[in-house]
Amino acid sequence: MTAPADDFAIREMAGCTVVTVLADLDIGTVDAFKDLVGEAIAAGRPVVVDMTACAYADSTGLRAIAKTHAGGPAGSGLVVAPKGTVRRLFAITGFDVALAPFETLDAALQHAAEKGPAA
Amino acid sequence: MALVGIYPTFGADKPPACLDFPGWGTVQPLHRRSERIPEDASGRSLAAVDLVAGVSATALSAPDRRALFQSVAQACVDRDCSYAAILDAAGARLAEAGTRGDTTRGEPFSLGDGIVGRLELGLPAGLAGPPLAQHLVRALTAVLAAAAARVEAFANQHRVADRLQRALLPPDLPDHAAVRFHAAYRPATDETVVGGDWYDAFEIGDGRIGVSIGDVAGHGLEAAVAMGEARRAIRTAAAGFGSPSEMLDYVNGILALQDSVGMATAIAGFYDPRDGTFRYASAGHPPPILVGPDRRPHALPAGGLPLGLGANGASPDWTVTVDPGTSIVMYTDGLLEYSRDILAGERILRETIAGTDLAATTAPAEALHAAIFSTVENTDDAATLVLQGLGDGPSRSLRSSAFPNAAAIARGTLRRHLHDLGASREASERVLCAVGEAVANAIEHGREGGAFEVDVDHAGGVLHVEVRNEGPWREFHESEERGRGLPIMQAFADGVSVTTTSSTTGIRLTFGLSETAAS
Repeated sequence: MTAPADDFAIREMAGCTVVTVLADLDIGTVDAFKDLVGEAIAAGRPVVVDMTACAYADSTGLRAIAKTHAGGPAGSGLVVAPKGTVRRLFAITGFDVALAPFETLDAALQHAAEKGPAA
Repeated sequence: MALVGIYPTFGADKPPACLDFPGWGTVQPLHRRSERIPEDASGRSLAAVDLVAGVSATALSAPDRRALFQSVAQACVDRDCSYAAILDAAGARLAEAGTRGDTTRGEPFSLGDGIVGRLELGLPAGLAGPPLAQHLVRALTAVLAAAAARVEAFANQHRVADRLQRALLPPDLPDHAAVRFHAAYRPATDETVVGGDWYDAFEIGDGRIGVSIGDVAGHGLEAAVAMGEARRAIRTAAAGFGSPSEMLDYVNGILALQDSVGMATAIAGFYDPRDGTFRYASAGHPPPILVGPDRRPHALPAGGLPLGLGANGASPDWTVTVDPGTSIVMYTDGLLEYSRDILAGERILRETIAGTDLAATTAPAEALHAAIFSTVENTDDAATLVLQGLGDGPSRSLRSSAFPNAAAIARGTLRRHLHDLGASREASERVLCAVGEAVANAIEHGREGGAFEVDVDHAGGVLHVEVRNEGPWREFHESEERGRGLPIMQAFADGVSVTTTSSTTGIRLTFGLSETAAS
């Protein structure tokens, strides 16, 4: 019971895999997150990480997001709109600049469609 | 042999719209009314239970149908009927209520081993003609035949459960000021697959309380006997061990000498009231679930090889703190495997736990069984043991093994502290982020299999939190990979100090809890 399916939601949208983080993204859930992202990247699809619903992340979770950003096909690791605590964590760690999160899922998907390989 | 009469009646609130009756009814126990119930064909005397079937016009869903059967069955069980046959003389009863009309006679129905009942149905005069009445009676007959079968299954189940529980499960669980124990055992609905699940909790004499739960492979009487031997082997060994892992390996050796025990999975451990911890080890058993005061379920570590495989293979010792308001749910796989889909079973268990206020429920283990088996049948037997911390407020010191989910558990405890202190949302966020980093660091960089501690101290509007772990300080701020934890602590805490020796690391974080102290 290490990776409850309800910690994340996975959707295929516009040629991208959208990973919506529902749980706290911390040392306890990060391995499941990495597995999900790894599967999507192995399938050759850009990954969009939707942080809108995520209430907390620790540095292990933030590192995993950064790695998603760095790896995978073009347009991968696009991050959508962290809120509240996670937004402040992005600011403290410089992720708000380095990862340039999108405010909406649509904006991220559109960006992926322009940058990424044909879906 | 007892007879259960089920009398369909149609009250004013159930108009003849029911005449397009789809095949299922609702049944409620009404009251005992034993007069006028005839003897059965062989002349045996009959006890009677009245049930009223109010027939709904709407088709019932499968769970409602199951509830129907269970209510019939439970009514019978409540009244001590060991067997149920169904029905007679409905027309006469309806006549009493002044609604006598056409009476129609149903076909006898059976459970496969002989005729056990016959349904007669009276309908209010002028409301229904014979064809509709026949339709109704056929449909009700089907319901009642199924209900009768269900009653019989329940009766079997209860006989087996009684026998097992009386003989092999502990009659009482310890009563302690700091913790309480609740257990539930549910035999498989099919008598032939009753298995070897057990639970146990017992005072050891040195202040500790021994705890075990397990599942002997196989079914039937042999498994039940083996279960008793495994449970007693753990009981006997407990006083001589401090380490649950060593105890399980010892018990593995004992059981190897007894032919009767094949393979078994188990969790065994000790609750220690001196520091409020539960220390346990697993032998291939499903992981316990810890539920904090926020009712979020967290899987605890388990692992290890089952007993009876020859080699010793218990998991490491795992330690968690049992705070007031915290429950640790231990269970056997009968609680997961009913659908042959363990992942779905785990999800349902987690959702059920999250949806049940375990701390406020008088019988939490029974409540979990009732909730889970209201929608699925337990095809395997299931045992559940719940360990609950009593008292007010979280303890100021938390000790835990370093496993990934421990971070979320520690934050849950801290969140409760902050709530009790009346900390603002903003202050709580700062504390949780900074301490969350320190705890994640302790888990990630502590000694393999080691433990960490979180101490909370509050005085004069200042909160001190110290996180200690076994293992030397890693220079994680020098590496890009690990370089984000310390800046986060520094950004959110008003003071951060790290003390380290060759064997331990401590991170002390200070927070002003008033709004103006925010950085």
